[in-house]
Amino acid sequence: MRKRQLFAVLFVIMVSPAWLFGAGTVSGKVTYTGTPAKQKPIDMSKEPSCAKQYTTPVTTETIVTGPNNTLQNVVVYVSAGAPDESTAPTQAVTFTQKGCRYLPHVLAMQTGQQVKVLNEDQTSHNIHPLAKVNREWNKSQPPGTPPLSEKFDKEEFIPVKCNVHPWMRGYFAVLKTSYYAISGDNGSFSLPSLPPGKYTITAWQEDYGTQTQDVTITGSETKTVDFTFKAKPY
Amino acid sequence: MGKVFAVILVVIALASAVPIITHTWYGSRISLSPPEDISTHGHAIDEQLSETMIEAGLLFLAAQSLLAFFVWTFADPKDDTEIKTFPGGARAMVITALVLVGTEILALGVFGQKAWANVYFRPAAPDALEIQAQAGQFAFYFRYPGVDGKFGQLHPDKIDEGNSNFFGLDPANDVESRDDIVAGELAIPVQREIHLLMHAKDVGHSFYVRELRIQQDFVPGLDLSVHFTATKVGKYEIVCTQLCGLGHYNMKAYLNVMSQDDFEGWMKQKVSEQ
Amino acid sequence: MPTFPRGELMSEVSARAVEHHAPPQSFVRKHVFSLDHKVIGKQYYALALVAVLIGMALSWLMRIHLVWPNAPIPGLQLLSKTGAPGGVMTPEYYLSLLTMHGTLMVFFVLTNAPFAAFGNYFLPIQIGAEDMAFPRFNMMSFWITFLAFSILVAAFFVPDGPPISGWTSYAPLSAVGSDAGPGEGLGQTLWGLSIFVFCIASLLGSLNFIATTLDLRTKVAEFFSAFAPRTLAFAGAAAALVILLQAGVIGSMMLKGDAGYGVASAPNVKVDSIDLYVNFAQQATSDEVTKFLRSHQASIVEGPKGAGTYRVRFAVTGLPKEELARLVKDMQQNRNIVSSEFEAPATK
Repeated sequence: MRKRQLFAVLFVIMVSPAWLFGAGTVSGKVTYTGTPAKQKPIDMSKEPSCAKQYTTPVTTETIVTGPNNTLQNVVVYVSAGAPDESTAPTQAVTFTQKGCRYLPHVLAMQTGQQVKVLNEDQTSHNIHPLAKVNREWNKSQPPGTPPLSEKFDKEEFIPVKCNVHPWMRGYFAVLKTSYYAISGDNGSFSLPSLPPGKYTITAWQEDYGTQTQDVTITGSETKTVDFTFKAKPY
Repeated sequence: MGKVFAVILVVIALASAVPIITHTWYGSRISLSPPEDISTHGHAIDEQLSETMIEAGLLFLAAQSLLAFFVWTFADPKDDTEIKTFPGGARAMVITALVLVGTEILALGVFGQKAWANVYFRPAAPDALEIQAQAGQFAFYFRYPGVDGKFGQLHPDKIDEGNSNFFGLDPANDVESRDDIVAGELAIPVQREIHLLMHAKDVGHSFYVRELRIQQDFVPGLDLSVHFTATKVGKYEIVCTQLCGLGHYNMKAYLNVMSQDDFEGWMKQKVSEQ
Repeated sequence: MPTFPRGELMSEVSARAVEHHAPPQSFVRKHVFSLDHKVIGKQYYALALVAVLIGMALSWLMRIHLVWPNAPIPGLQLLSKTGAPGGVMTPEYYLSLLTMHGTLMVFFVLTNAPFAAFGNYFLPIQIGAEDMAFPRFNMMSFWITFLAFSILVAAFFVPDGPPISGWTSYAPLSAVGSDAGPGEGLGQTLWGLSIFVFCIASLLGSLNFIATTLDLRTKVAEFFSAFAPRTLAFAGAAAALVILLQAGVIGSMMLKGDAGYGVASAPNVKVDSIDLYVNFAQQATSDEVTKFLRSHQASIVEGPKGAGTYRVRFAVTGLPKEELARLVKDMQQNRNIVSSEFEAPATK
């Protein structure tokens, strides 16, 4: 009998950290109402080496929709209440210039995290993040040059343009917290491993702006937080 | 010794005449002749260039030969060589030079006047196809008025290149701009006069199509225009010929001259993409 | 023997002059800060030589980059760490080198070598003068040119590098500052300062040349010199003026009728109709109105709008501005039929 009691106590002791530092999840879907603006085809005739990579011209990516009125490329993150994270992750994120487009269109990273910019095209690019809070810089990358590494120290949503190719557009979402996600093909996102507490969740779309919702995590449950943006026809 | 200089002078003069000859030798297998001319006014300009080359070339050869002759004759003068002066003295010589050179320049200018004035002093025909061209760092964009035939208003504060709004149109509020077609290439029908309305978005640029014999700077703040008629179907390069910054070397667009049917098909396709 | 008003002999005047203007003895006075036009001419020539060698080296760098864009050029990273990392020239640095090559060649070689160097040396000799009219100006103009050259070369060594706006430095590319690219901040400022200082030096030099040519010709030389340098200069100016004049005079004679340059916002295209908003006078009968319209080749296209305004289209055969003025004047003389009129905004 003592052995079983011992095991029970040990079991409780082992499991209790999961109890105390819970693993709640906030997940949901980002949708829109109304008619979003038509995405316009991009004319790359000025850069034949890029234009020939596409059989049909690509379109702008300001509003990328999925099935059932869902929105992709929406950055959902914890804007208040998240535990402090003083050190940035050591792993760098990658931003690629390919086919005269930025891949991915929206790249999320933490303050102080390195972003590696690659040029996989036959032409020069000149990446220019239009930062207002962080330091604004631009760097040219002729074809065949090594990737360049940069980081941002303050939280900001930075539009990124190419000084050579006016149609190229991307975004750097520089966040203080590591609790972020970008809505995927079906508009869904998930913020796991949240300790119990009160949080403010913000969703940011490059054209429609931000929306916030408050949520409270008490243990290891999954709370559903959905965001709906109003689409504009133009 | 001096006579050697005279010979060198003549040799250099003749060697310099070679590019003049190859330039005016049209249709030659040496590709130093100018690129093919696809405009209605280009022939006059090419002729003017050739005339200038020939006139100046002949005068150059004559002047160098005269100089060589004097160097040869007076290079190693003997003591009793009489050095004559120009009849009438220095004053007469200078006046003669002035008259000769002045006449040559005047003649070239008079003959060239029509070639240039025909392009710049003659306004575009009233039924010319109006296309708006905007030059910005570092691409050209062209706007067609669409089915309503009117250009919508431009709002520079609404320019959003990532969203393909290069001209700053406001289709939400301006009805006339809803059907405007913006393209990255200049597609035009052949044998139709085009009136290109030009403005610069930021710094100075220049519109240059060598086959059209057209070059016009985009000056920020000025609304400028050129008009031309293309006579041959094909794809020609429009290059920016005014240093506009880091991407100037890569700033170009294509002039796509098409038959009237092809042009209408192109317009239909663009309209469907709106 | 020529005497002077106070009755001195020429020889005494010369002796006194020799005392005051004894030839310089020290090395610095003889070769550095010299007042002698020949020395200054040689100094200008040396400056032009240095400038042309630097410009030539820059043109080599440009050509190498055009042929082998990604090849490292050994030692280039010492000149500019940001412009040529690892010796490989960036496209921005190519533009900087292009700008400096043009500036050095045009300003410090093409104007210095033939005019300042050659001219300073030979002009007094040609006209039989002892020296230039203002030897101190001459020395100052050379050393200010040297100062301008130093400021320009300093632009190579500022952190952001030389400017990228070309040797013509057109605004607004050169005016917006470092937003336009590397080198546009301090580099462009130094460039502008250098050229401004160069212009001051050049003006001093030209003043000297003009004063020398006009004033210091000896009587013997006068007959020839009266035409030689000045006339050649004027001949060039005359040719340029002839071209200018014929553009305006003969050009406009050859193409009659139309006014000059048409621009997109102020077209001078002949139109075939003008629209006006017209209010007919209350006492005018419909007969009179019909007669009026017919005589003016006009027709009502719209109306009546509120307050009895009609949009009337007049057929015209000329330039819009002149035809409009004519129509308005016409209607002001027919106030018994038309009470008011104003221009209708264009439909196009």
